[in-house]
Amino acid sequence: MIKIGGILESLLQIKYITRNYDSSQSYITTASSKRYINTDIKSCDSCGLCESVCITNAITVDEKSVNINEKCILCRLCISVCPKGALSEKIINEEETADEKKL
Amino acid sequence: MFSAVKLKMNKKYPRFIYIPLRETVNGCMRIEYEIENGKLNSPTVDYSSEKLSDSSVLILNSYMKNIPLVSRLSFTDNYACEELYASALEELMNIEVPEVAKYLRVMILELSRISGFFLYMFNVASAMEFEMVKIWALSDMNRIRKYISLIKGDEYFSPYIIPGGVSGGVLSHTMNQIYYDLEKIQIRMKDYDKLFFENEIFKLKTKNVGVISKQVITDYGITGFISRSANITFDVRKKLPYEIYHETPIENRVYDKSDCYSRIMSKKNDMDNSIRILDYLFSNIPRGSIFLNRDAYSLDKINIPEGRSVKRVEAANGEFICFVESDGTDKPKIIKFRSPMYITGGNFLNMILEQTSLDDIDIVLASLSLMPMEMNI
Repeated sequence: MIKIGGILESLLQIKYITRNYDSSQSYITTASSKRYINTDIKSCDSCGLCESVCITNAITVDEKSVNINEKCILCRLCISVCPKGALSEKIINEEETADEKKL
Repeated sequence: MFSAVKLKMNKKYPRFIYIPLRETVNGCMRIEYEIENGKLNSPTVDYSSEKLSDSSVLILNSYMKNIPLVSRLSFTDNYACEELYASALEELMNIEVPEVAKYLRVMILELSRISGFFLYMFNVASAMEFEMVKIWALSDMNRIRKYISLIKGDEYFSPYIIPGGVSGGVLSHTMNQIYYDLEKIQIRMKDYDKLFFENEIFKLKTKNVGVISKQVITDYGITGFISRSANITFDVRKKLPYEIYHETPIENRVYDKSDCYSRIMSKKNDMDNSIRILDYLFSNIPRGSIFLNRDAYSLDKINIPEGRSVKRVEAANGEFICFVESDGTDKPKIIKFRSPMYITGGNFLNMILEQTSLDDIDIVLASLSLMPMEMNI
């Protein structure tokens, strides 16, 4: 039965291409670092300059908070524009390594 | 008899299409031509497969929102675009740039010129099938881009030259690191000399190929390394100096005629000049913590005063021009960039390719440093 199947496979060229490329063996790629824009609410005076500069309209400024959504392309223009220095760029992996050092 | 004569009169050559490799030309283009005795006849260059007039989007957004978009207009000369836009806005807004920022701007412009040189080397080496040089050029280009990201402080593509100055300062130890690594690149250039520039095969393949006369260059208004290869020493950095280019040293060499060989050597001389300028910068850069004039960014100054500004910059391939017209609102009325490719890629290219051998077409195209994506931006 197996033989017939093998012949049929070869005759009809129904070879399972994925047989040798099993998904369980595939590599899972992960980003080395993730960056994001961090806001310091204490020093922010809600002037709205960062909002007016943002090309993707990712920033919304209220009286109490500054929200940056996933549309951010990390052009960092808001950081250089902010008169109070309330915005900064942070790297997640750097923080992790710093925590590991503490331990 | 009559029919035979008629046939001769109506004899038409078939038209072929040649599509250069992405390795030799940085973008999509095609050349339609007829062939006679192995040479091109009436070639016409077509850029319809490229996206054109990218800068038309800039009218829709406000001046400040356009800053990240401007640096995406060009592939090699993105910092030249930033410099043009920033200096045009500074002129309209009457804003002064801090002294340190001027030095940092020139530093990043020259580093991007060196990375542009290595991209050019990659194009030329792949056109002549010098595989080792091709790989070296790519790795060196990436090395230079790493220095640029060190100065900017990020690995992402964000604007550095912004109206009022630059987006961040440079620490002294990163400056030292770049200084010592550039010395290594100067040593590495000797390997390039041995394998490429002093190679007899390179000389045989490029000398007396794709010759452009001095008259043609002046007629078409060609600038940059192509004009310097024909001994026309026009350089915007010296004729109309911007930032601190009036202080920096620049040396020009003398060439026989503008063929592929002298064009490549002229580009190499540009790179040597960039290293000379960087040496001058490293020894003369003033210390200071103010690198951005924040007057450019306030909610009162969102509307830019009425006026016009034309700025010219010496980019990696020639003169880059920007025209901005403001009508007193927060959005530009007219904004247009003109790349050096606009001249080299037009009728001028059709004229050069006429009677060029099919074997030499790749070398001629690569030696002109063509950027089809910048044809009309």
